[in-house]
Amino acid sequence: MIDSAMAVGLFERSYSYVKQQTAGITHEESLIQPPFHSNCINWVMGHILASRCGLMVALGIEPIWPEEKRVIYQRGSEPITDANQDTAVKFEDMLRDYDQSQEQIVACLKTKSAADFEGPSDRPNLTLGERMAYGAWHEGYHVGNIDILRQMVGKNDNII
Amino acid sequence: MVEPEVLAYLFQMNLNTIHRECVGLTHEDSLLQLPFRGNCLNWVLGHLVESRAELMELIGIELIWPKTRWHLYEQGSEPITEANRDLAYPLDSLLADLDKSQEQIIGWLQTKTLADMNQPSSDQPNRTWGRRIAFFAWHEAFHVGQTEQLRQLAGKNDQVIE
Repeated sequence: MIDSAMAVGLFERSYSYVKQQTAGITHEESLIQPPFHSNCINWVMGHILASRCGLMVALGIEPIWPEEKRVIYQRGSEPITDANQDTAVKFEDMLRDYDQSQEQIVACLKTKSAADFEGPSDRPNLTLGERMAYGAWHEGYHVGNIDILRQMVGKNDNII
Repeated sequence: MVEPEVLAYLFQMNLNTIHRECVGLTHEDSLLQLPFRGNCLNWVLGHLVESRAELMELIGIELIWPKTRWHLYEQGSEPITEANRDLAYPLDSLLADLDKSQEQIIGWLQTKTLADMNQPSSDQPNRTWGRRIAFFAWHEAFHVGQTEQLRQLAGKNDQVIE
């Protein structure tokens, strides 16, 4: 079991890192391809947002993106490359949506009791608390991806 | 508030993912350099062992590495490159040390209760033990994500995490 304060702390950590790692990155830079089998920043950020939509459903609030907007960023989806980059969400819009999702998720988490967190989630084998713990772990994993991708687009800095 | 079982679960996800991302990689693969600023897989894995040693010192159990071994992989340390690659620990030994540290950390967590986790930590009394350890687990997840990209740098061209 975790409680809402712990979940808020973990999502605040992710949020802080994402904001630092994406500072100064343009939409065009977000589409630059890694020189190995991997995804660009645009896909990783979109995947974080698509995953947040799942968490928002679990929390009983409106997802930040409708289902159709999440499709190209879901796990196992095709990489965003030159061939399909016209379907990519504008990076600036993603960052705005990430801010908004943070406000909504944190506000909602703060209303949840210990009993809520021990109760079921949208996944039958996970309590709401476990669902949030896994969501925070998953987000941390992909924030680590962005750390590498920021350098790939040429920022050549060490911001964390 | 976080139960020790949840913390153990997070550390287990980290270790499981590391092992899957490192399947079939050699020590030489672990030293491959990104074609831009960044650390190689060897540094990332060594940094995780070093970070676990810091956690072990904090919780008062035997360190997986003595402090004299920390400097090569500490936060802010120089990247491991051609110039200092002879100092790097073998990939196999890094993975073995992660396994051993896992047993020690999980073993310690199994002796603890939720009430223990709710106590103030020794180094940051404004934060509970649970919160301190959860952030160690989150820090690991951050670097575990990077092992996915560093595996692909070695040319595996696969997707081991589905």
